[in-house]
Amino acid sequence: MPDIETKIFLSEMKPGSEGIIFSFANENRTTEALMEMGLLLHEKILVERVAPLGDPMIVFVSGNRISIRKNDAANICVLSKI
Amino acid sequence: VDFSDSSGTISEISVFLAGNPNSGKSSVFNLLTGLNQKVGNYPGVTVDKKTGSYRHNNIRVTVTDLPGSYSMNYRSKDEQVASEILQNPQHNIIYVADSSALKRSLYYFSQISERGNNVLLVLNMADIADEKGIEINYSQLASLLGVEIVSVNARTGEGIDELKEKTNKVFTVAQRKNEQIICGNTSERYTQISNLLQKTVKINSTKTSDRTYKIDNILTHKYFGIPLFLILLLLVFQSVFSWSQWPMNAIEWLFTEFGSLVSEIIPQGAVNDLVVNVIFAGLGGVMVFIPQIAFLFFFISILEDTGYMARVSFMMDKIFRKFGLNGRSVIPLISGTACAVPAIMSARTIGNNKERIITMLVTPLMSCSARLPVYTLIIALVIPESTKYGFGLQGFTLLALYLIGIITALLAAVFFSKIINTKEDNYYIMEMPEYRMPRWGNIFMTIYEKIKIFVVDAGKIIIAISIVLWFLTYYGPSSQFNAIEEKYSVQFKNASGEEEIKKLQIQINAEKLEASYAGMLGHAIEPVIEPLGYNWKTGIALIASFAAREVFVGTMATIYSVGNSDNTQGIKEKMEQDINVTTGEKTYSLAAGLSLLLFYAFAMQCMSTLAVMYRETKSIKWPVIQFLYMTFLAYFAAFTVYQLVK
Repeated sequence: MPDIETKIFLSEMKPGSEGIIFSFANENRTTEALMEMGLLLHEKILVERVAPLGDPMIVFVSGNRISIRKNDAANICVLSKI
Repeated sequence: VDFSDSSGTISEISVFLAGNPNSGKSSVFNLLTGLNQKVGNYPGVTVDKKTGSYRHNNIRVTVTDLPGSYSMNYRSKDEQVASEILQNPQHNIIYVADSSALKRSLYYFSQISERGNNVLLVLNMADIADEKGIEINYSQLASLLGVEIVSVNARTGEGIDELKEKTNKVFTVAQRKNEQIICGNTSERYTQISNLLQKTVKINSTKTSDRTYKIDNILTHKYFGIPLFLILLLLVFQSVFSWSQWPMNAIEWLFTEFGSLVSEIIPQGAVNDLVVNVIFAGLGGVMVFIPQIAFLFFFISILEDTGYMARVSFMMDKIFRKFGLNGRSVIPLISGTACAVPAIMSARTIGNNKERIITMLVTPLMSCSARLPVYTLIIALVIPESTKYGFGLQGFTLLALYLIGIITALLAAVFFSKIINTKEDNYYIMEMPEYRMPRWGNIFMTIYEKIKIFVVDAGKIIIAISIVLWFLTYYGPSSQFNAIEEKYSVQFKNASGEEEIKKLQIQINAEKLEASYAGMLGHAIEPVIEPLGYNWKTGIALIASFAAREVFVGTMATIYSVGNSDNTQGIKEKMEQDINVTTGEKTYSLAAGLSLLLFYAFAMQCMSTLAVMYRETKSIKWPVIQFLYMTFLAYFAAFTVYQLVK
């Protein structure tokens, strides 16, 4: 079965899945800060794990391991293979 | 190159250390300046300014360690301080980059170096980069960026001599030629940095280590992550508690022994009493905190330095954000059950200013060990020893007091998070640093610094308040004091045997305390504390125990002429026999006892905590707010329970 690429919010991605950052739903101070930490458009992003209580999550992007909250991750649209 | 001129005079240069958090900037700072550093203030803000200096080839170099940041677009007060200093093109900058995370490191670097400052680039953590299979072509990178580069391994000290050499060279020439090649907005900069790194860095992917990922699989495990943390925390506090015990006893013993030695040399009287009770007891009271501070920061620095503390924040964030706190607040809050002083100091690891202030404000509500003697005395006095449903009532009361402390602390946090305004952004993005072995040099430096700050800065305030409290309890209107002396002088003459003289001495002390200014204050506040079920005797103890909560027991011992504060049984009996003259009932009824317990659970009866709060926030505002809200809470709770149970 061929891989299908779908757009999905980063907050909904499962641990271990990866994709390409496609767009930011709205740009605010948090997305600005995230971009400065390397969460940039077209950058490859990997969801490494989710906290034991379900939130926040750790993503690996641009060589950085970053912890972000799910409500911030819901702002980021990712093109992911399912 | 020899920079010293023939006359041998020393030239001076001043440099600022900048870089991302976790880049090993502090290690570089420590390696450069050694113990020759001090902590000061940036004007007008509460951010610590760390400066140090060293001499190399007749040049004296003053180094200032700036707060770590990821960008010139600051989001906190600490970052703002760094940005404002870096904006001055006259300032010399040593930029410390993490070799294993060059992309992000060079982003902040590009923002700094475009202002045309003299910049020296330090590539730190060569060992971790090596583990990850990262190979850097230093000379090519240096020529492309237009700066001098030094490769340093701050863990081993490798490259530090070269850094000192190049510091002298780079910062003694005029302005560097600005050959900035990275510019534009965030994504443009990142693109240019990527292109640059493609030319200069090779990644040997077969060597790539995913050690951090594997360790995280265990330490942040879905089911075991939090229990593991709690076990670790329990072990840490158990060790802090038990290891501090004997050095604390030793310090207390030392100061008491010295005090009594000196007391024999100096003639009896005010000077003697001042020296023994303020200089020795007061200094001892400051020094006694050192073991706890040292051990707590030993463990906290290890947790921080290895990278585990960031995971604690990650795991606990969901719970603590509900209360307006930070995942890292768990450390100060739990340390608070031992002592609020080191606990408040440990809140420094919380990056967000508002969350740090709230954590510090509510930490003293956790029942600290100094409350235990008060709790034990009052519980023994008013709570029956019977058992209900298999629980001892006394033990249950103690447990309830601890729980009330925790719950109130969390509720107070919610309250403060609603009312404290902040200009800082409330956002949570955190780098999860690579796991690494602790750097012992840094850890001992932190312990040394914390102890120094406490002893010097908080110690001054504690001694000053001790003198005031001593004055209040030792002095009173002389006419009354003379009357007491006269009354007893006859009895002293008639007394036979040491036993009797001792007894008289205890009685005279009790009467003098009642006649003292503290005693007068105790009488004066009686109308205010009467609705809580207390009399003037309790009033004196409340005032005196502002020095430290456990002083309550000692003051009670003096008031009730028991003599020795270790004689809890004796104090208890005397308090039990105390009858309220107007009602004819026991003064320490169940209602008054419960009221007193709650009062001590909530009241800010600790000058050391207030002193450390002042030191950490560098503002009189927060200790005052803390004192007022806790006193109000204590009064309200004590009043309510007394009126309901009465």
